[in-house]
Amino acid sequence: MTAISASAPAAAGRVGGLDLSGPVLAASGIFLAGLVCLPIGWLVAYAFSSRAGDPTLSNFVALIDDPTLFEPLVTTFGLSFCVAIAAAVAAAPLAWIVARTDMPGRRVVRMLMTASFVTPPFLGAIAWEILAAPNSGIINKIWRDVTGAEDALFDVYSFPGLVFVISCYTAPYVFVVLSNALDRIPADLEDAAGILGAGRWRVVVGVTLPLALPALLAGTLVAFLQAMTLFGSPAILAIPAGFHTVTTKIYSLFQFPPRPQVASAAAIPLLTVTITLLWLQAKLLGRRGYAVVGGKNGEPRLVALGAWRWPVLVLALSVLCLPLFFPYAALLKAAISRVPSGPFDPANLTVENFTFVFFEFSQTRVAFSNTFVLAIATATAGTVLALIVASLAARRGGFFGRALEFLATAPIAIPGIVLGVGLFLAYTRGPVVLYGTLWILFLAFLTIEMPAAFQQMRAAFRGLHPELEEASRILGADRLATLRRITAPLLKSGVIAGWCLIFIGVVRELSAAVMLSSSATKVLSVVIFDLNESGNLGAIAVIGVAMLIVTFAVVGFANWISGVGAGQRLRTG
Amino acid sequence: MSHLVLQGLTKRYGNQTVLDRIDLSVTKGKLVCLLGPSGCGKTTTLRLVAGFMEPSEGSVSVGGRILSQPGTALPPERRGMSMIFQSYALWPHMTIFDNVAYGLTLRKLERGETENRVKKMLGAVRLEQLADRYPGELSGGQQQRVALARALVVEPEILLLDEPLSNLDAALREEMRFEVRRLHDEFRYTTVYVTHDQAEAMTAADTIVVMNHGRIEQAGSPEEIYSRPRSGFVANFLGGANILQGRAVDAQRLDIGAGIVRCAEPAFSAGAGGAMSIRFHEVGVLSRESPDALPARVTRQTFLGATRDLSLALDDGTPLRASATPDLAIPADARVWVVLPPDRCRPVTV
Repeated sequence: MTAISASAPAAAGRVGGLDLSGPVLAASGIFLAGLVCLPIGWLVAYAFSSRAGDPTLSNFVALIDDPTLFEPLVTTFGLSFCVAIAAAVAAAPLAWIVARTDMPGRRVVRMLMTASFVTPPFLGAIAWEILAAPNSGIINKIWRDVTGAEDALFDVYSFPGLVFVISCYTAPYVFVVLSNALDRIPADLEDAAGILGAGRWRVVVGVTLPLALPALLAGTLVAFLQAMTLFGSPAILAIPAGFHTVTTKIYSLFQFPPRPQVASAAAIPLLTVTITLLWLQAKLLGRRGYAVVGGKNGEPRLVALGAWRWPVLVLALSVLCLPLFFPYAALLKAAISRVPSGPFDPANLTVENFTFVFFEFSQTRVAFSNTFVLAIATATAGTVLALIVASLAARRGGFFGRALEFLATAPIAIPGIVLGVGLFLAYTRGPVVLYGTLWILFLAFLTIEMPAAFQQMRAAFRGLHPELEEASRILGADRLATLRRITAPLLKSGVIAGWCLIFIGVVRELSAAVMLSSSATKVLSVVIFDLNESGNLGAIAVIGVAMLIVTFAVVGFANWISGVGAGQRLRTG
Repeated sequence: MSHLVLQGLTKRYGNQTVLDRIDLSVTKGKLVCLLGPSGCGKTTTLRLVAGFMEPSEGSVSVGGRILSQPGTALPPERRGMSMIFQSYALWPHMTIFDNVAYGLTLRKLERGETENRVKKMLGAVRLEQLADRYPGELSGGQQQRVALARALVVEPEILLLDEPLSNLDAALREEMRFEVRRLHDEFRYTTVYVTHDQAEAMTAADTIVVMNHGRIEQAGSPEEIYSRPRSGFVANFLGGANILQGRAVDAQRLDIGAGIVRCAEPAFSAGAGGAMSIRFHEVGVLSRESPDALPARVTRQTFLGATRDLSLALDDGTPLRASATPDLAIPADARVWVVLPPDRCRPVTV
């Protein structure tokens, strides 16, 4: 037997007395390192070379000197800042209401808010085009009809429009992080303040909110990062409005005439800021104050809203209109209308969009199969990889275990478009040319989505007390029997959740896909993006809704599998 | 007849020795308690016996057969032992019945037989009605009894318990202490029980092994260890005691600074340092001067119901604790005289 730590004997990774964990550790370490280092290496190399290939700083000078390059940088940070504030302002009260008051239907509100996660941001942006384009947008049409005004009520093709639409789809991040934190604030901390004479609202303002503050900040940081690295929404809304963000600028620098060196240089600030902010977030969540939020001190005490219960519910539901009800209504309407924003009358009804998408449009079938083949392959490979790394890290520990953990989480800091550029540069030339194949998309999706699944798996492993396996061993089960009868069943729900996370992530991924897919390897997100450029909103609505239905079906199926043999309660005292 | 024998058992991590040459033999059917503060090596000893680790030196043998020695360790599943874990380690995805039946299904018992034995065992721990529940639905005490049932139902050759009661509240812990002893009297398995709680050890054990810093300080019956502690650590850890240090006048007498104290048992060598222990309730407290009594001052007194706890200071400032009868009401700062009876003063090593 090799070195075994005191708290965690090597339970996994041994077959028939042979310790395989060393080689597996090395192999997964090399693979993960390659996954990250190759594209980022090329990106950095390009950023510091001239067109002829000589080392230079001129690309960075251009970034500052050339206003068409510098302005997007300023816009991006302004945008991210506004989005972060807007998302926090919208999500924080809602999270508190859902977690800490007796509002009727708060479970449903919470579920719906979480469900709006699944909406790909680019689809949301397109839905808001249908709703609030200055001339044809449904809301603006109604506004003009009702008031007789000349001007639009709200122009989605503008900086505020972009802030609004992105906030709709980043607020759920703040909401989820914050409401989970509020759930875990032990009631006795609040009771302690109550007993000292603080009134109900004093307790909320003086105790609950400060305790939830780290979570609020962390969620707001995520919203900031999302806004900064998003490609779809700005490409759809900002370009028609005549301005660029960094991501759309990078994309356009790859259009004819391509300037990959400058594009690489433009990606560097994005990468740097992301890494810095994620580091900051880890510090925030890792601080001791946040650890208080995690006790098991009974149910949180709910604030009674009294007569305000129903008005508050109406408020919550009207907030939900923005990311969820209005956009989906618009999409469904567009799917069955000749003119997406036309009036609600039978003359405007049609099945043309369906026939076009499913029988005439040649890319549909290819894109559907590409998307779901990639999603299933990535989810499966990513889950296996995450599982191996998580088990090695959990049961082995030490320097190599930690290094492996770091490598598996590192890609989270790489924005999709940056990874897209890096992979494009790495695999359009020898020795391995992957551009034009599904493999390059597979690598991109694996890199982007695996970390989230890994974190899921790591949490599952940490929740699995080593004594659960040891109890099986001492009662007479060998390693394999223990793996089969104890470890695997206990990890199952974590594994399925990780798989679903990757699957959903792949289906909605656009920013790397748009850089890396070619005509034969189009995926649904890219097809929707292309159709938006040609203005075919009805077809987008059909594809978008079909895409969501298939996604929900697959996720539902995966959860159904995990639910077979249900009745388990995954908590020990 | 020794059943479980540990011989020179040593465990090192790098250059840190957590277990240092442990020798211990356990007679068949007896319950041995490994007692000590956290980090004393008691859990390491248990895990070495279970086969979750391999010793750096020494051996573990059962019935004359060596199970563990450096380089080879029979895997835990082939030792015919059972273990009860601090976290109970009940499998949350199995019912109580399935948890208890697990070990029997591995032994490929007939279904009817398995069912009978599980039912009987659940009866023994008084949980028949909960067979179809899941562990998450049970209280801590009930989970603890499931863990006991699961370990006992396979009729192990040796039963190991790792701080089994430390997650329970005080009242339940007291009840379960007797439960453990009752089940041991019923089934008579050779048992090694690890705990840091002296009351648990006193209730459950045939033999107590007090450990400290990876070594055995003293082993013996509860009475033996309590009434004749060999070291200051043992006296303090088990029951608590005053430890008085000083310089030996002769084989029996110790000059502790505030006066001369006599031990009935000759153990000191004149001129050398020495120490003795005396239990709190064995210190006699008088309100007037008496030959052989040392003058002292009361620094604090606390009424505890059955006793009165006195903190005293001898004339040179040496602190001394005494537990007197509750009706002895002496105000703080009062002058008293303490009697240290020679037959209660026991020479100890420090």
